Amino acid sequence: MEVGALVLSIVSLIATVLIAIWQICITIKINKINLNSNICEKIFDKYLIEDIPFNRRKLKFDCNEVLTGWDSFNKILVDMKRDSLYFKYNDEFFYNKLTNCLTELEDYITSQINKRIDSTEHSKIFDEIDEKIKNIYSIIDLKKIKG
Amino acid sequence: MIRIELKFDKLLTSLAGNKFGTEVFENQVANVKYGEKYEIVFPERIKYVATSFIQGFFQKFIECFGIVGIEDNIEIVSSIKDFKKFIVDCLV
Repeated sequence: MEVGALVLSIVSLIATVLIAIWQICITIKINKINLNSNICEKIFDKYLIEDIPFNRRKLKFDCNEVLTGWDSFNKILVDMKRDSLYFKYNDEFFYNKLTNCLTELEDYITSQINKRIDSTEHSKIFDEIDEKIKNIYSIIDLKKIKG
Repeated sequence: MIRIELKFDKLLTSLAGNKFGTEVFENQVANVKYGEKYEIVFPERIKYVATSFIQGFFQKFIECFGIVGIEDNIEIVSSIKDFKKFIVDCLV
């Protein structure tokens, strides 16, 4: 009877310790998510809420069918890449993924500038740009959620 | 000072791509000597150079001079406003 009680208390003690460790791990994880989410907001919110949508609207083809507004848009991508440097030392995987997407979009826009592009191609180019922008948003959103 | 006048296809007015930057370096510069100063001339018609091209092209310069050394040892001639500052910012 005494041995049974002893075993029960040991099992109960181990269970308590494991639950405590699990709770500490969860707390650390939540704190990390909150911290990274706050840093993401601080670094990227202005870009995501104001700069990208505002400057995306300025991308258009002029009467000569040449893309305009690309200079301010590319500047935002370059600034965003520079501002994400914090993550190079904090989460290199995220940093590489984000900067690759920013580079891909900058390269794509650069490949379209100062060229006369047939009007039938315009919507295809804008769709491609929007797709790449959505990719950038989802990478940052995922980082905010997962920490 | 070593002057390098970069040459590109006449139709090109913007440059992009890390691989392309590396290729241009290998074909038109080839090697960088420590202690030398360089003047790199971009054709006037080039109106934008993407960060990917800059990183590919200047990789060997960074290895030789470091990022700070690039400011002291390289002069850039280009029609792009504040292009040298842009290059240094891209390489950080």
